[in-house]
Amino acid sequence: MVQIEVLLATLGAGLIIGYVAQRARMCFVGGIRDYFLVKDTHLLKAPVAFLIGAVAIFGVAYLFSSAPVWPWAATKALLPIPGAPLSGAASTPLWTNVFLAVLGGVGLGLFSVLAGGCPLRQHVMASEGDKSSISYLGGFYVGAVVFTAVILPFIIDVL
Amino acid sequence: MQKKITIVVAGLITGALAAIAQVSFNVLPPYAYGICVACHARDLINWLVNHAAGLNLSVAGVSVAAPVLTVIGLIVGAYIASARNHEFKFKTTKHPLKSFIYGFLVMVFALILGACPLRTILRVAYGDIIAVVGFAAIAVGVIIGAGLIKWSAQRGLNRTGGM
Repeated sequence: MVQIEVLLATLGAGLIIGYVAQRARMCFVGGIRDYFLVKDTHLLKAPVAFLIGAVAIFGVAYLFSSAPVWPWAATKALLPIPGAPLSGAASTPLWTNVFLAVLGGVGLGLFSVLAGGCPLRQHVMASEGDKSSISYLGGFYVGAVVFTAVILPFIIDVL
Repeated sequence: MQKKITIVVAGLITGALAAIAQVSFNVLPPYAYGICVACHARDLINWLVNHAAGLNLSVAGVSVAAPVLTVIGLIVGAYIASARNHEFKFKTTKHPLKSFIYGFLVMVFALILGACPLRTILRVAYGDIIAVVGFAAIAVGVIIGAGLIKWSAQRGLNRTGGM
């Protein structure tokens, strides 16, 4: 069943986030990069503020019991929130989840910084007319289809 | 003259909206899915490919009937912001293939992690310990990449005699 509220909420949240991200030049890997290279903490404030904003809303929602499994680790211990390959199954060994998180995280961080920004920042720069970022988005969307069709079945097979 | 949106305000708004999308607008399953630039992009493109080519590529539960539209919002929102402030300008690139490959690789590794940097932090906010490991790994990857950039810049300087 199509949930209209989900379509409107994601479109609306995207519009607002895209707008503020462009105005503030927000980037979630730029902060770590700048701190490492020149000890500049400006962009690093974004992920910290994001964490505070999200925890505040989840905390309030928990008080009104609309976020029943928050905080996740209190009831699910070391089971990850589903999303990564195999992470949805409780029978997946812990080391598999940790391995995929480390492999995915290091690759994501490495290639994001070489590309010049996190996926959010690349969407924003593409919207500013940057053809490098527009090419990036081409690879990004092709990558999603190739991953799901080819790499995901392979990972599930091997692990 | 509009007021400047600071980086802290932008971060707070983004984090709050990501959580509100779940608790008030049912953007789940999975949990902590209010925003993910990689997974939401995957959901949209896979949903479109499935319907255009009759395939059955997997999408998140919330996107089975109709896909989340976050990335369309991001592109339109950022375009409005840049156009309103006279910052929209086509910029050419010498290395479109390189950017394409980076985009491809970032998506592949993000989907192995099951999150982009934003959703990684959203998962941390939701209390997911594995996401803390994921965020540390992103930081390690960024430091390796930044180190490579620094190294190649220094090598370039040495080659041109400090110019």
